[in-house]
Amino acid sequence: MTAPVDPHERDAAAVGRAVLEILVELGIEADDVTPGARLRGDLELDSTETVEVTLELKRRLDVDVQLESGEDITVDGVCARVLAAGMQGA
Amino acid sequence: MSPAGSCVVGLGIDIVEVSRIRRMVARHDTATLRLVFTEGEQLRAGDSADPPTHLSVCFGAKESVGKALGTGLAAFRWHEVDSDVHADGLGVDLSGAAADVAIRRRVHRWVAHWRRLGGHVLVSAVALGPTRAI
Repeated sequence: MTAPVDPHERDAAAVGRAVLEILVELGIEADDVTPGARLRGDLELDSTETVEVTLELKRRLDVDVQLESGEDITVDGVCARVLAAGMQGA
Repeated sequence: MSPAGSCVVGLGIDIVEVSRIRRMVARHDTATLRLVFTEGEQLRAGDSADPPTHLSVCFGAKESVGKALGTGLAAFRWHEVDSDVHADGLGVDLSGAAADVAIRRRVHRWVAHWRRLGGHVLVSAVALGPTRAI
């Protein structure tokens, strides 16, 4: 018998896939999109691309997340903010 | 030189590639774009002769205001800076957390300008505060 999937784990996987797809669409190599990769320092996203990520997350998952912060947010951090914002429609 | 009775609290400059804003606007509906652009900005851009350039100026103004306040966009949301773009200038109006930051920095007036540079727009915003007593 298959164990039921934890809804949080299912959501986290969906968010991770969406973030990966969005970054790849921006021209980032999929192999570079690791959990610890920083948007600015490692993936070299500028402010326009960061806004693109925010808008795509809104369009795909109907979440409003602010990615601009004093620190250079990681891919894992983006996923955490999406989950905290309450993912819908994934 | 700053206007009489004022001193410069901060200065922000930004350059925006118009084609990227054009792509951004084409990909998203107006409701989604409200995360970045105010309703007024979108309406005024729609009435303008060149909406992508108009919104690029708005985008650059938000960045410039964040830089002039010394916080970047970390302290407030994009849509809390509303820009009224004219051919020869630019008015900015802050709300929410952006207005709170400006009050703390004692900003009482903004002087902003923009100009087109090929496929880009260059935007500057100067935050003015009261003259310091000597």
